[in-house]
Amino acid sequence: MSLLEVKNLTKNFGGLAAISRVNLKLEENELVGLIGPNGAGKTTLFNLLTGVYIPSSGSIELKQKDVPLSLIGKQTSQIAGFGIARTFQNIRLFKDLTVLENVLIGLHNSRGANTFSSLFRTKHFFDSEELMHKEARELLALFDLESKEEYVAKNLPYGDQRRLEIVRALATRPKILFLDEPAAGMNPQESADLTKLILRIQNEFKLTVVLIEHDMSVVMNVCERIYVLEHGRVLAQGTPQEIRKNKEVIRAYLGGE
Amino acid sequence: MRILNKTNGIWMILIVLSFGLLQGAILLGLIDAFYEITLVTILINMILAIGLNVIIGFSGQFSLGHAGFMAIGAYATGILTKQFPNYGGMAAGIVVGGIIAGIVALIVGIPTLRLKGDYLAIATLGVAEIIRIIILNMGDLTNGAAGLSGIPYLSTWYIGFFLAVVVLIFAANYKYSSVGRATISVREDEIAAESLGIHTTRYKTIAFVMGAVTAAIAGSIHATYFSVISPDQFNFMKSIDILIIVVFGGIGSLTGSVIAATVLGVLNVFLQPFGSFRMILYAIALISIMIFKPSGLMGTKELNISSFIRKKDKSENKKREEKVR
Ligand SMILES: Nc1ncnc2c1ncn2[C@@H]1O[C@H](COP(=O)(O)OP(=O)(O)O)[C@@H](O)[C@H]1O
Ligand SMILES: [Mg+2]
Repeated sequence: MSLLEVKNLTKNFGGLAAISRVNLKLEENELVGLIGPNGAGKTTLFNLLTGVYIPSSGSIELKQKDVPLSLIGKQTSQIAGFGIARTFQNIRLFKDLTVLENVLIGLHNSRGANTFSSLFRTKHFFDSEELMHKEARELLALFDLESKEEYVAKNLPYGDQRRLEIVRALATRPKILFLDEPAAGMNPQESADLTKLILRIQNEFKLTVVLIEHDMSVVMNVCERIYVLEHGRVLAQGTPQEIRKNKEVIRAYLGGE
Repeated sequence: MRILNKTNGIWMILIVLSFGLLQGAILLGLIDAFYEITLVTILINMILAIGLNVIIGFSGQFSLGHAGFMAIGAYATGILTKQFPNYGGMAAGIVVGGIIAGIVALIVGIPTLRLKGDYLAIATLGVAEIIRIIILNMGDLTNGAAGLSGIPYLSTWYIGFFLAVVVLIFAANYKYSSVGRATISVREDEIAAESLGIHTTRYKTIAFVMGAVTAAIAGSIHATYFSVISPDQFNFMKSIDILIIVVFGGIGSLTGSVIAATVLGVLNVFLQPFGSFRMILYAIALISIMIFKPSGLMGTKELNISSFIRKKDKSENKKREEKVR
């Protein structure tokens, strides 16, 4: 099976079907674009896949040791534990904590010492703190944020905040990373640098990345496959070439160009 | 790690120094028997405030029933030390009180802390009242509304000081650890914390249980220092008193709680001569401080000795660099 398989996923908010019978497959180590006009349901799809929202119907299955595992009814924290990480469209950093602390919290689940060793300051505690700090700094260095580790997150420039949120998500050592408009609010140069960085971490960490992005040139250039969402439905999916030629997409989405 | 040790060393010196000062003042008669009661009250309030701060300040959950957990410790220790009037009995009282308080906190916490929102506040409000009513109706064991008297005077200010230091160290160890950061992340943004794999209910519960256990310890000291306990000492107003200390010191700041417990305790003594007018002055003092410093004395920050050291280190480094140039 694929790494993640979504079948007939539906989410109704009152009368509105924000996501309607969506089918989607993610393979290992691929970069997938998710595009669609505002309100198409992209963020809602991320929220469903990460357990923030409970689907109205449909299935989500993650390949765990070659066995499919249903994610329906699992808590967000459990799903994160299975190796699914994300960023948020409206940045959700721990904004009163430092850059380093934000990343350390991302490492907690896999690396943190337990309550007992923390309260009694056992050797295990000091070892684990040292390891966590080292790993956190290595991750920050990837994004050139290591010199800002003592900054309080809310005092970072906007672009750095977005990048820090990615570092924090990476700290959970995910297999799948959902990025919700990571380049929003960045200038073209920052956006281009970020795109390069996303490609690099995808390779280095053997990640499957799903990218919500409005800049069509970015999506068409870097994504191996693209899903187009409209009114909660998958309008089309395929390689950038296929999407570019797809009549439905041209009509509904690329029409203006 | 070196700075960590240096900081710890300085804190240790501060603690020993304040112990020495208090001991000196008592020996010189500056702190008489009456002021010693104030001192122990301050130490008990300190423990209560530190524990409540772990709940409110770290995990961001609102508890309004802290006095209920204090009552559990006080009665467990009162009952046990009346049977076994020695330090063994007192130690047993602290352990039993702590365990019961912890279990009650688990029972209350696990269902309510699953929910997002201030459900804990409502639940704890009810639980503290239930604890009080149970104590009122336990017959000879608790002696109802009249309360227990003749509890052996086993606590001294030494014991209060020692336990306050122990609770403070545990709270600080918790705060400056990965579980502590995880707990604080729940306060900061529950959804983001969940997205990083942090089981938010677990950390809210850990903080709540820790707060409950420390409140029981404070209750144990209270019972064995004052010798008399009754259910009405552990009413809603007591919970609010503790809450005031936490807010006044700064939600999330342990050193803030320590300072606030001390300042408010001393303020209370100075206002003693004003009789019933005292409460008004106390309120005015509180309100004026909250106006000038709405986030409490310390905000969420700690009295930061390590940053002071680091600043000094940096300026020394700079000097060194300049010399090299
Ligand atoms: N929690 C919610 N409650 C009600 N409606 C919602 C909620 N979340 C999203 N929606 C609605 O679902 C639709 C899709 O929104 P969203 O997923 O944010 O779109 P996109 O990310 O593609 O811009 C919108 O009409 C939005 O108003
Ligand atoms: Mg969106």
